[in-house]
Amino acid sequence: MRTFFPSIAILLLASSVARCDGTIPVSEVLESLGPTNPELVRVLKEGFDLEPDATATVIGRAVNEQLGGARIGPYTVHGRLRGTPAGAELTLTLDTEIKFLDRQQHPTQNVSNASSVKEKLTHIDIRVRGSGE
Amino acid sequence: MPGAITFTSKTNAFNDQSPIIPTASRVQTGKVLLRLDLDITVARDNQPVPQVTIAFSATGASSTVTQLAPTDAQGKAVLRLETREFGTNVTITSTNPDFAQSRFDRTFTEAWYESTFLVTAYNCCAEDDFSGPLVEGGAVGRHKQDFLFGGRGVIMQGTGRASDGRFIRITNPRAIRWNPNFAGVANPEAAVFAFANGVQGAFGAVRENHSVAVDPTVVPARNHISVTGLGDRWADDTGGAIRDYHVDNFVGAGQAALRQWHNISAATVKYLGP
Repeated sequence: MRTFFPSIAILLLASSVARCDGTIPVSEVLESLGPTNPELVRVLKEGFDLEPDATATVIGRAVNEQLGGARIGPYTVHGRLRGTPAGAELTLTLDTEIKFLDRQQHPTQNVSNASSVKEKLTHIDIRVRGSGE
Repeated sequence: MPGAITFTSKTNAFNDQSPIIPTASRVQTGKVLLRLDLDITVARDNQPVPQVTIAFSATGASSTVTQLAPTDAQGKAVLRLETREFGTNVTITSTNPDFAQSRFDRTFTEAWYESTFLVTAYNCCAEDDFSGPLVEGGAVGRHKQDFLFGGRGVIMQGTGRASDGRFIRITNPRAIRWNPNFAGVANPEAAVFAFANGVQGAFGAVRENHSVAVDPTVVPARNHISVTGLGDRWADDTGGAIRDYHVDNFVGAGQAALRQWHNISAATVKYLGP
């Protein structure tokens, strides 16, 4: 693996409990995060067979009407290494650096005042999909 | 001798004779646009009348009816009705006195959205899924810190279900500041929580496997739809990020509810009215 994907550390650990608040098509996640980290997204596309839906954090409408319902990272995706047999299921967590931006495109610490959100894929955590998930 | 026109609803792409809601159309004054194409046959003295275009009118202030091309050699043509009259009778008649006796009546009680919908699911957070230490939450008492203040907790989602089954909401989200890079709340002491009766959507209370968030310019607020693979749903919620042909299905509280979601990612949707 390291020969092909030197930028990934694969952690073969029992999967921890994840709290997932909304689904989003994996294709949409990869499309939006692709430009922020093309190398990692290429690894995901070429190295894994991923299930079609990811889960993600949802921004509540009561917190920000304009962004209400939007999905932001971390994204949780299930799949397996391409070419491996059924049963070798993995949970991939796509961690992102998140910046909320106000109308002037300045970073804001107040989510309610944000008019957009920018995300950058920073790293991927890979674990064996466990029964405790 | 007066002529006669026979009207027959065309079978649509969904294999029935319901109207469709065109993809480019949007809700106006709380009503969707219905489009129904009809085959007409124009005859006089039992003989087809070719190469004629007949003027029609339809009841309902929003209704238009257009013959798409002159009749062919068999006296046949296609008539297009567009209306926002749902649940009330629409009558098409010819304004040409020769054909005034012919009419088409229909009350529309369902229609297919022409476009396929993206289907996603969402829940509200449940305290049982969290593991942090207990902290003081003011009027709502002590709860897990990450349930109240975490990035996937009440403070980001707006509402969550506590371990005792009661719902808690943040009353002043505008007062909350986050640390850079979204690393926790910078001023947790400013947060004011209160108990809630449940999860409140934009248009009404949100209930699991009943409510969906939609774009209200596509599905009118509180209206009834049927989503293939899901069943009947009501448009109780929306959000600025739920745009166009997207149904976000509310599955209830906690991760367990979302885990049961069965990866429907696209579906046809039937509109069933207010």
